[in-house]
Amino acid sequence: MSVEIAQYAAQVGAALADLPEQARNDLLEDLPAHLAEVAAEIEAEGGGVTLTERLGPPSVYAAELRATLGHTGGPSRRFAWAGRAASRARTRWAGLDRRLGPVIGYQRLGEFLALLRPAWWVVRGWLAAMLVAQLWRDGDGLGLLPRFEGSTVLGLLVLAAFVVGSIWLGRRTAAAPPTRRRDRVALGAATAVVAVFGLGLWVAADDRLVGSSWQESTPTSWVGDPYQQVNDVFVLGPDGQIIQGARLVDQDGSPVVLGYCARRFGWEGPGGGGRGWEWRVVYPSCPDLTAPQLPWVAVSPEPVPWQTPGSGTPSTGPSPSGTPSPSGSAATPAATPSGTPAPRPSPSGQ
Amino acid sequence: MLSVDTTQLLKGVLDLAVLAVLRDDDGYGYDILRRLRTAGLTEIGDASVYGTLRRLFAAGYLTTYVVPSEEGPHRKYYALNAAGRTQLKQGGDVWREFASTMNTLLRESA
Repeated sequence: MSVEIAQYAAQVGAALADLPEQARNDLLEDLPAHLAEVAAEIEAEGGGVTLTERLGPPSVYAAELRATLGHTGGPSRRFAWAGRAASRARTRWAGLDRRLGPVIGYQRLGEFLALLRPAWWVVRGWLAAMLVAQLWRDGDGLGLLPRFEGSTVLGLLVLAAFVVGSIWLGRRTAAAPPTRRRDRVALGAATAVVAVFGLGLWVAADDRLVGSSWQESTPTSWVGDPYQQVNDVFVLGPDGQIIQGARLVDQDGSPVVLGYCARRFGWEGPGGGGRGWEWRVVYPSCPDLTAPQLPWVAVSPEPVPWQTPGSGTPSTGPSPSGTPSPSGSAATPAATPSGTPAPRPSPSGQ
Repeated sequence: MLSVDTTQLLKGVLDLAVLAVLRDDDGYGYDILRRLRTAGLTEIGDASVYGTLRRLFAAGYLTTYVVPSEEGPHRKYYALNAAGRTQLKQGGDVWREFASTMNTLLRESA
């Protein structure tokens, strides 16, 4: 029997001589052992039958073996695996295609995607123009329009050209996909480059938008604000006395809101937050904050720090409004009908 | 005459059939052939099963081990590994989907 097995295996091997070494070895490696198993079965069943009678002529057996390869010229095992992976991916996609289509009201998802093709052509043209513009100017800031040498007009012309070109290419390849493998590969590679670039562009744009809105919504200006510790502002007149109901104005005549209480007035004060609330803020603006103890006020009169020695007398008497009274609240003076920061009569008479 | 015979149909699903009969029990070549025939695939040939086993093994879906036999030659047993089970599951899903599509089509045309 073993002679018969060896002969049979050799004849099968000869019939498969055209296969690539790897595939052939994969098939034949175990064949004698397998044939021995078959022979043992024949024997167990009573014998009297040859391998050829049981399995058919070696050439037929070889043909059947070849058919299990799924292909006749046999690529290497690695590519066979890749092919299987690809076909698996295709069948999975076919399943998804049919399942997801009805969700959006189409028989197949692919049907809907096919409708989006022209949109993709336009986007592809735009991305290609952006990519060229980006390469052109060595990649400083990305806008949303391609610009060449800072020229928007030139950019728009190039954009139009690329979009038209992309649409033309799209129509052509949709009607007749390139038959040459090299063309298909080139098109695929170009598409991949454009797609990756588009993804990068999108991520960069998203980053910038999120970044800027983050800056707007977060009080970063307060974080580095040198006046962060300021709760209230006390305006001192030339006499060194605290001016009640003072208003602060900047160089443009706009009201300056400074200090925690003044800001809080904006959202809590009477009519706060309403139009022109800034003008209703007067300093000191914290209703319950004790005025600072200034050494030259009331207790032990001293010359004000900025007064040149010998010029005038430091006023010690309580001025009509100069009392550092803790009750001097923001709300009361705010009710003054005239919102003008009128200079109050200075008692010092200087 | 439309030529739909089992041999043609079998080609596409032989992998799946072989994986399926190995799901619960490991088996050696002739044993696997017998299981397939018993299950109803009577036209299946030895070379088809052997070739399929070799290919599935080469693709990494099967493992093998040799069991000495008292009378006769050693037997090479094939067993599903994790990749083989995954493949069986995926292939089964594809097949069921395909079969139900075909059934629907055939009902419609009946």
